[in-house]
Amino acid sequence: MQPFGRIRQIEFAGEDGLILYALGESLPEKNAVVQQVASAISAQSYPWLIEVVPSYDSVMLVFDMFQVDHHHVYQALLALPLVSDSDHHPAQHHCLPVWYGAPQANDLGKIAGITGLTERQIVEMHTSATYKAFAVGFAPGFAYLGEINTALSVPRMAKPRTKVPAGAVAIADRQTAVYPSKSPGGWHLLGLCPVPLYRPEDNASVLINAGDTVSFEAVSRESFIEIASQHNFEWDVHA
Amino acid sequence: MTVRLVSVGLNAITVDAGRKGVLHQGFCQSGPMDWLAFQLANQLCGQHNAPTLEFMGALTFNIEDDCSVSVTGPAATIWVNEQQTSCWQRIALKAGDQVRVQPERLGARHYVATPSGFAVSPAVGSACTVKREYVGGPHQDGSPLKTGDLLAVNNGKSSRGVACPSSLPAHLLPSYDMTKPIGIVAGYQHEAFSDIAWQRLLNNEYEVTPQMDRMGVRLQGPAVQSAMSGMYSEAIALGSMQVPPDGQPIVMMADRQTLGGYPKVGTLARCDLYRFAQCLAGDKIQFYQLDAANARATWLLQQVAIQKWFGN
Repeated sequence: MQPFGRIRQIEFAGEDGLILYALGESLPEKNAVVQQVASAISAQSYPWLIEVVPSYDSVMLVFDMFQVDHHHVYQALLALPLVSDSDHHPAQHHCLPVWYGAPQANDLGKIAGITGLTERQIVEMHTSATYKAFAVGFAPGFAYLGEINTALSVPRMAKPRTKVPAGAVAIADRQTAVYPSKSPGGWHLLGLCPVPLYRPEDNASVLINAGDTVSFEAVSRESFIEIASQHNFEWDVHA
Repeated sequence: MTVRLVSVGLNAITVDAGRKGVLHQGFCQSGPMDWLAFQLANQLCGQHNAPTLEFMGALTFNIEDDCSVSVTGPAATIWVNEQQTSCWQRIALKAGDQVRVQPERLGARHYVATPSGFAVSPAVGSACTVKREYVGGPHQDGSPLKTGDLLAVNNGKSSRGVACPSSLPAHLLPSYDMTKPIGIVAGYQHEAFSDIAWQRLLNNEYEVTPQMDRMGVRLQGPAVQSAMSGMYSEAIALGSMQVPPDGQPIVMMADRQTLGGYPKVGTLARCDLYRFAQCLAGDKIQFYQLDAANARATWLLQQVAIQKWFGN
């Protein structure tokens, strides 16, 4: 379908879906368009709209085939009033404490070996920036945050771990993330975060949403234990 | 009213229509694998989308009060006590009756629905059991049902109150002929696949590998490579066919992750996806191209025929 405005490409995602790709010079620019388009669509509460799933540079819409088809949805998008940035669902900032080098999640030595940075420089670099949540996916509450300093960029591990603990703070390429629950994973680990990003008992609510900003703060083992108990965060005490 | 699972063959979980409006938070959609069998099981019990059992392998259960159930899915033999009966109908049962379902093909998925549905506390807005997320289902932790489990039935209309037809006419019986080709709607990174790659996909058989579950089905056949060299992860629609660098397609099913970074050539048509969901390792699948308008029209006709029969 013919792209328009700040959409560079529109493709079918099945007979009941469309995926829109954002225009922009850089990833942050494209992602800003994605956030804007996703909020503008959600704000309309179309009766035929089933899902709006934003990611890095794209947003997928799923519609009710009984009510409409691709052409109807396309016409609705053409007529969509694009809200200005200030009208958005307000983005939140989260400052997450991290016990860097926690033995349960410590690849600092390996990362130092790849990047040539000292462990202290790695922590300083990771805590000195504010990251944007480009997308939430993979697992409930898993937020892809970026972009990290290129000097800290490390590739994914050749052999993914079968078990990464809940709360593990990780990096891969120019992204960083916190694993909300234990899962397999191929990112290098920096430490542990005691604030839960998602708990099954929270039902359908997660801490970080796409578009939010996140920064990290180094805390001691003692503070980690204290914060973890305040949040009833269950962590694996065994390294 | 309670159902006691006397014997669970391979696996049994509860499902409903799946989660809605939470994919953007990373929750997978879930829902039944075979949408058509799930839908008809419920329609035969006079309802839509109520919590239903999805099981693989043989299943035996006891009924503690008078009620009715429907069993749907590919070919299977059903016994009520010693009496043989069949799928695709509402069966009236008496307290103490034992029902045994023996699927013809091991690994096919069958559905048991009952009026008002099974009582499962919703997690993330759904009765679905999602193992990977440790969420949902009767045990509330994503774990499947076990032999000996009790499943309560929601209070609601009594079985006698179900007024809709209790069986299906021949033209509404789903076909599970795996030699019939499966429709695919081009989309996503379709342009990054050459005409030759696309024709290769449409003109060859792809074998279903044992690497298959509720997340996805890995196929094996002539490689279908794309010219994509790295892309950002993006939302994966139900039935999407993604192709990793080795060129072997993976079809993404109910419990697929929400985002993924492999190029996708298209999406299996909804009107055929239920049948694909019943394929087993070793089955050979052939695909045909279906444009989006035709795929939608075929699905709508199927749906309207069902609604007409059940008067809703």
